[in-house]
Amino acid sequence: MSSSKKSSDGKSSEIEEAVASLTMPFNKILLTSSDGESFEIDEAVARKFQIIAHMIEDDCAGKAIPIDNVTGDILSKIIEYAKKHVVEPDEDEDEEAKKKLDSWDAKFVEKLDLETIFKIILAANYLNFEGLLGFASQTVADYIKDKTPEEVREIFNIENDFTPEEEEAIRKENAWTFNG
Amino acid sequence: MVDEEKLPWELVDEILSRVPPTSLFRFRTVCKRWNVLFYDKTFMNNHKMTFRFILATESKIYSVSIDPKIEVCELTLYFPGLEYQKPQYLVDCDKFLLYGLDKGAVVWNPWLRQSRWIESSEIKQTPMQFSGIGDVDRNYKILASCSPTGLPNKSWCKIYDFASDAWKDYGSGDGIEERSSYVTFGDSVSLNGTLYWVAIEKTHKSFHLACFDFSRGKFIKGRNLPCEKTNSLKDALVLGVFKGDRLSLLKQCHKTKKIEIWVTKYKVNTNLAREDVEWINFMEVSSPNFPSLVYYSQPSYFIEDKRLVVCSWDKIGRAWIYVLGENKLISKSHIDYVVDPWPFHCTFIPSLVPVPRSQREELAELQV
Repeated sequence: MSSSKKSSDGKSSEIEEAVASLTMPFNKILLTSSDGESFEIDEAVARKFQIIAHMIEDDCAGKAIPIDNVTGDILSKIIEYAKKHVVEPDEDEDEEAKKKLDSWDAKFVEKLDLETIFKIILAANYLNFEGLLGFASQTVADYIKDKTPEEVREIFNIENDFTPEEEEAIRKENAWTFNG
Repeated sequence: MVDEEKLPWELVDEILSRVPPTSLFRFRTVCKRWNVLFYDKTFMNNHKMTFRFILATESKIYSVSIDPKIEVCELTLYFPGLEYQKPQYLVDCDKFLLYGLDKGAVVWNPWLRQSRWIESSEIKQTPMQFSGIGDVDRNYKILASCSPTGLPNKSWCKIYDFASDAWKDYGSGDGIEERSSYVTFGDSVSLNGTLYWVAIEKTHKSFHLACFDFSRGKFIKGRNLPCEKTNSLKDALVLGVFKGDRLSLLKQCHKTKKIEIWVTKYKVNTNLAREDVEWINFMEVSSPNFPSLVYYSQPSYFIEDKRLVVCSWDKIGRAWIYVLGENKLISKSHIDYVVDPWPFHCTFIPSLVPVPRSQREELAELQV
């Protein structure tokens, strides 16, 4: 997975992540949402959020970390996903585990409405949780792919800045697709 | 009061880079910003379904993507009569692919799954080869040529115009192009609607840049290329596109195996005869154990982020991908998924430009 958001010593934090999950499983971190909800999680789980991993490395993570931009309901969903994905199974080595995790992921999003998924995308981006950002983006991509341009505008609240003539000219080019 | 859009642009980009191409094509009318994005090469390069090379054997066609790891996908191209013809050549025409067969070629956009069969004509029992696709203000045209056996120094050229679905003879009408002084070498490179080649000047065996300017309808020969003269066609010498609006030149000396890359300092235009094209040395890789990139055909390559990625045959016809950078070989992989030997190959970045139709077909559409 490309890691444009990883720090320049991304390799060392990967190793630290692995070490942390093996040797310090009982280190707990407290996260507090913008609306005052608190979540106590293992350090290994907290490290999935690069923004927190950096704080831990720089030694400026106290026992409690305020997450100002994310509400409790969204943070709890993100933590639920992070817990399941602490260790990512290797596709080539453990197909069985990957399949199980994919199935859990599918059920996880099934219950969520689009508004919530958007909030999760914003929060995952803020926390720098690449795995969830990718997964949630893929979910939205799958959802919109068969929609009409009108429906897509509504979903993203985008204004149509084409004149009817301009739109028609572009749509004419659409007319002959899927030709073999 | 204007409602804010639900997500910031960079997150919309993340989502769109996972939407399948045929849906993206439909979404061009969502808003102007989206329409512009879908023609942005950076967006194409980063799209999750992007690829970089196309490989074609007698029975199958594949796309090959490089990041994050090498992945090969089988593509389907169906055309009535396709199974009775053999692939002859494959050319990257920037927005489309030209898949040449015995009796003509298919103009293909694999991402949009659009294709169009163009039949070629014969000159003195020699079939014409399609050299490339260019355009004049989005009026697309194909240049085809052939040098009939037994008629040295003469080559016939014809130009196909998509809009009128008609062939025209090149030049003064009889189609003959007396290029007695130089010969084009290798595949054409399509850049900004013009076709560029490496040209060999016959008497001095020097290498030049040449182009076919569709708006003026003529071949233009330019000044020398920055590589030394060589008598050997075992050297690799391949033109490419660099950063979307410039040209690159790859050379590998077959003796030393050293690879050199030059790029043009500025954007290239068609004034090759009058203006000098300035080239700068971009990269050099010296590795005596490095294989030759030329076994019966020239390699294909692209340059991205100071990396050079090359596809070429080894001596038993297997396709390899070499990644070079920082003046050394970074990795090499054999594409074992492609079973048949000697597959045709070319670079190709997917596009969302629809294969052009003739005006007649467009009018017929409106009447439906």
